[in-house]
Parts: sequence; structure tokens; C-alpha cells
Amino acid sequence: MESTINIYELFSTMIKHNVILIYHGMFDQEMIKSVLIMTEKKLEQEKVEEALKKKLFNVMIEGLQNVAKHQMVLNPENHPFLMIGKDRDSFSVVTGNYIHHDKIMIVREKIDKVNSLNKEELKEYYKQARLKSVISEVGGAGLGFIDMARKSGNKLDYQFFEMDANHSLFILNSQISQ
Amino acid sequence: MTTLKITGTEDTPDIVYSPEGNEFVISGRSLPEDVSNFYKPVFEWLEQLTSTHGNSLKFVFKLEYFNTASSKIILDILLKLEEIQAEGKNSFSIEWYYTDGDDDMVEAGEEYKELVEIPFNILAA
Repeated sequence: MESTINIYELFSTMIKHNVILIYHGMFDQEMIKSVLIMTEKKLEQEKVEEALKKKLFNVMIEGLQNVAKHQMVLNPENHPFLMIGKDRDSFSVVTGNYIHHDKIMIVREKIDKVNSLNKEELKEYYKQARLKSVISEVGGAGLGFIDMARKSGNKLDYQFFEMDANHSLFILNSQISQ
Repeated sequence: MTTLKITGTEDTPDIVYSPEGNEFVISGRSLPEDVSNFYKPVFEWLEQLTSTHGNSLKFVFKLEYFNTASSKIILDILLKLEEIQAEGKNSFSIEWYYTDGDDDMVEAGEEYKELVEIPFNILAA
């Protein structure tokens, strides 16, 4: 990083956009545990309600483990990232990770399907998907997006940014409200 | 039935079965990196039930958080119990605990309750 002025500007930008935590690097179980502990401290300071805290934690766990299981590194400057934002009584969990273009369609279809369902339909969809689920080689149950949508109570917001001929940055934003 | 004891950590639950109490208790957080590997001893322990009879066991779930992979594993445990009970040699009951205000945990319990034919009580911790 450059001069202290820039650092102050950077910090102000974070504050202005209600960002409480940023991480840029590889995701693994140890990192996930540390982020959960840090978030827990912050929530204690802010006296966040237990129910909201639980929802946030559930969404974080799914979102972060998802990245840990599917992350790829394009080059040393392009690791996955995490941003957590807090705006009055809601939180946002944003993750970014690089994916191969041939995976985009399947991710898009999964999320669009989840976003097309209402609360009751999601519940039923989760139930059916769990019955059919088989734990994958990387230890996933294929239920992450459904659970994130259920626990957050909101549609999952996502974007893909093309990085090079073969890869895109996949950004997933979950809003968690009371 | 032999003793089962797995000490909990920040991301894995505490799992205890002691033959004296006839009670299997799983508590804490379940978000292991590798669920299949973590729960392997539990399924091995459950296997013993298939070759014994006359057991009347209570399975207690006191979980704070669990990830979706654990949610699938819990379903597999419950379905295994249902299968063993259906053979008619053993009987089981389930207690599913939630902390006050944790509606998602109540709902999770209700969803399991609908799926298995085992006496299932959802209780406030």
C-alpha cells in the first residue's frame, strides 16, 4: 500500500459503504473459523440479536465453505475474497471467486432456480434435494445455495465478470435481514 | 453397546454415548471440513445396533449450528435408526433441542420429524 493518506481514504470508503470486514486470500477451514470468531466479537459489541446472528453465521458458513471447496487462483493477485457489510439491522455477505467458464451455466441455473421459489417452495425443494443428496468428493451436499436463500430470507444476488478467455469472477451477495 | 466419545471443537460437535445412561448426545457446532470422515465413527457405532437387540436408546440433538453437509449426515443417521427400529429388535426416541428464539432450529427439527417414524420431541433447551 502507498501513503497514509490513501489508507485513510480507503478506510473512509469502507466506512461509507458499511463494510465491516474484508479478506482477500485463500479460504480454508482455519480461515473460516477465524472469520467466524472475528464476526462474533463484532456482533457482541453491536449487541446484535441472537436470531439474526444465527442466520448470519449460517449463511457465512455455507458461503465460505462453498468458496473453500471450489476456489481457484488465477495468479498471485487474484485470490478469492470475502466482504461483510452491516447496514442498520441487516448484513450482507459477499464472496468472490474465480471459476472456469464452463461452470457458469450450472451455477447460474442453480441460483436462478432457488431465486424463483417462495419460502414454502424453498422448504420443499430443500427437503427433496437433501433426500437425493450424496456427499461429494470435496465434502459438499449440493444444498448450499438453497440453505443460504432460506436462512437469509432474500434472493441471492450474483454477477459474473469475465477475467480472461477461460475464467470469470463469480460474485455472490446474500442479504440477511431480521 | 460400546462407549462412544468424540470431544467437540469450534467446528465439530461433542458426541457421547455411555452404556449406563442409554443416551446418545450430540451437541455444539457441526461444520467439519470433511463430514464423511468426521461421522465415520458414528456410523460404525450405529452398525453395532443392527446385531444387538433389546436396546432402548434416546438420541439427543443439542446443536447450535450445522452446515448443509452435516444436515444430510443427520438425516442419514435418523434414517439408519428408522431402518434398525423397523427390524423390531430395538426401540429409539429422539429429542431435538433449540434455544429460545431459534426458529430455524425448530423448523429443522420439524423437517426431520416429518421424515422419520421414530418418536420425536422438539424441546426448548
